[in-house]
Amino acid sequence: MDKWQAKQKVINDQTVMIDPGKVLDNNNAHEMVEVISKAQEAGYKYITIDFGTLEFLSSAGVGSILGTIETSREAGGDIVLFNVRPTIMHVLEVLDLADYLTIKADAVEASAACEIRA
Amino acid sequence: MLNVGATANVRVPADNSRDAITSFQKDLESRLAGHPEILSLDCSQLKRVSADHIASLCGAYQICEREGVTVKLEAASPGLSRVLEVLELDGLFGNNGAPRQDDRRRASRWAAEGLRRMYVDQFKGNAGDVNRASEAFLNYLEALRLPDLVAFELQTVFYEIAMNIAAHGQTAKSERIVFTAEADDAGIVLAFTDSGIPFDLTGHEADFEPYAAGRERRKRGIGITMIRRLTDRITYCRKHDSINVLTVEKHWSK
Repeated sequence: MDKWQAKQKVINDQTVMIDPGKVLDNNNAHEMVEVISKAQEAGYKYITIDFGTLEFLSSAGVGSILGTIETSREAGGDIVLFNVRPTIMHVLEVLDLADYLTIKADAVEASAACEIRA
Repeated sequence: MLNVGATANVRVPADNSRDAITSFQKDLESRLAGHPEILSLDCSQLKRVSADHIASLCGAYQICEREGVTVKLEAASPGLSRVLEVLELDGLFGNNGAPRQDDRRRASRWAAEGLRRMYVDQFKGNAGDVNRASEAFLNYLEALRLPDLVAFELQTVFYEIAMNIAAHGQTAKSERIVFTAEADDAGIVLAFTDSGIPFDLTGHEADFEPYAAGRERRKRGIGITMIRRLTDRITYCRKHDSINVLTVEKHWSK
């Protein structure tokens, strides 16, 4: 099996975008935490995560975001999810996370959310 | 395929193709034509048991019952024995007296509906096997023509329970977790059976609170909360002081 690797794109000096791919589960959640943590350590206040291709999100995947989001918020930034499919959104709603997390419709809205608050 | 005295022996094929099943049924009828007292079904080929195999065994049981012949299983793997026990079909083939009426009813259901409504799989407690089993289960759910969201919920529940057993059950590496699903007009029942340490999911409250979890950077307890909130009923029992049976129900009306 190929090693999972998240795609990353620097949007500006405060924001980086991460694309986790099709699956975020127990197999790659730990690596996702590392990717997010490295971006935070590198000084990116905002991390946008493109869920556009994400088809499956396990509890470990949810945990990778819950375990890192407060670090961004304490630094005055946030982790912003966008392009979230209805099935993935359903999981987040079941966990009552829809209000706690910052979720935007698309990349434009996600970027705007970061810039407004930057 | 030997006739030994009053016992006839027929091998149950691992291959589930139409040709293999037809050949199995012909063997069976041929052996029954000799009027044996007992028909022994040789299960030595069944390493990984599927719903198709269970349907074949139940079909064979029905034919034998019609002919007044007692059926026994030979060389049944621990996995097959476990599956039959979980499905409460072990009374059909065991040595514990005559099958009960409920056993017969279940056999009839399996023989008639096995391919459409019932599902059986076995997988080891590692990520690769769980992923394969998860994909296979999704194919079964799609065959049931469930709404996408319901199928997604059930796949999520399956994955979370399977990974939980894999992570915390301390099952032997060679041990296979037995998974069965039975769907009907009211809903679906998923059952997971393993021989790991006792772990009662029903004792865990779904007390997940997102703000506290985020503040505490908590990654644990999310899976259990998902399982509880995506299903309608969870039961757990420990059988023979060695087998865990976790059952979750989901009703279509929810």
